Amino acid sequence: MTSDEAREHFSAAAEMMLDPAQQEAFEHALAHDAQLRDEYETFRRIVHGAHKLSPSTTPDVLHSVQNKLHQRSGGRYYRDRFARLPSGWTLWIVTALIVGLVLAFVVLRWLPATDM
Amino acid sequence: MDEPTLLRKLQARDEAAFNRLVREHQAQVFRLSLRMLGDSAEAEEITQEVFVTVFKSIDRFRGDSKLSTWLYRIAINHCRNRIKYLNRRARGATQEFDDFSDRETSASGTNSRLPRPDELAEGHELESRLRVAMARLPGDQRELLVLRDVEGLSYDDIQSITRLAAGTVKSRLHRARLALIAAIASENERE
Repeated sequence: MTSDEAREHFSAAAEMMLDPAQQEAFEHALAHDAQLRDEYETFRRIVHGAHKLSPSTTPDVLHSVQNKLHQRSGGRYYRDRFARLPSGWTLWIVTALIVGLVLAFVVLRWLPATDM
Repeated sequence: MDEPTLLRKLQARDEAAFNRLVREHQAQVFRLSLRMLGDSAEAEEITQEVFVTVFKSIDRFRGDSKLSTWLYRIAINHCRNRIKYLNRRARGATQEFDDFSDRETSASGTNSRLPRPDELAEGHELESRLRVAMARLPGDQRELLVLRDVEGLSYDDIQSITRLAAGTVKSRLHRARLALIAAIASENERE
């Protein structure tokens, strides 16, 4: 395998997709050409480095999608506004309702007792 | 929930099932859109539109591929349309990119000056060089690089998404990788 032929196999080699005979010829070509070896190492590192390009955070689009579907369907889908609230808001509202109910219960229970 | 059950519920416009689909796949759609468009606000908008399209056209999904593959296909189509729109809006800049791509791809044969391995920094620096270089490639090359090298999809999935033959995917991907490396080399020479 010449150096130019080896360059055509960079992708297959980097993905370990060469058959054994091709792999041997490829390694032979690398062993005899230092520049080719450097080029292949650069190629391999860049191809494998692309895996790291994923963003660390992704937005939650559910609420926006639900609103768009609600609007574009003329209100047919996602009619229940409560269900369309983002999950964080849902938790806050449920917690606030529970706390409010507990407080109301306590106040109503203690007010008559203080009157007596 | 297995995929056929989820699909049945989606086709019945079950909102809870759709919420689940969005939650499970929004990250993959956003990642793909971000790498294709290079702008997080654009990517977020496209991600929303992908799921609106899915909700509207789920009846057309025949189940001959994985649901995630179908989602990728819709996302790619939305990104292509968005890139076309953005290119029309800034045609001058696009022409510059096209010229760059032709020049770099043809130069990336045997004699181009590739960065040596020791010239390629590790970690964040390599990542930022890759981001810049990838953004300079034309959409069709970026598409294959994102699907294979960033997202790590199989060649079968890529064929299904792009509707290209296996040999075409491999040869175009190889050229895209060479163009990416040439773009990085070009950035190196500028510094």
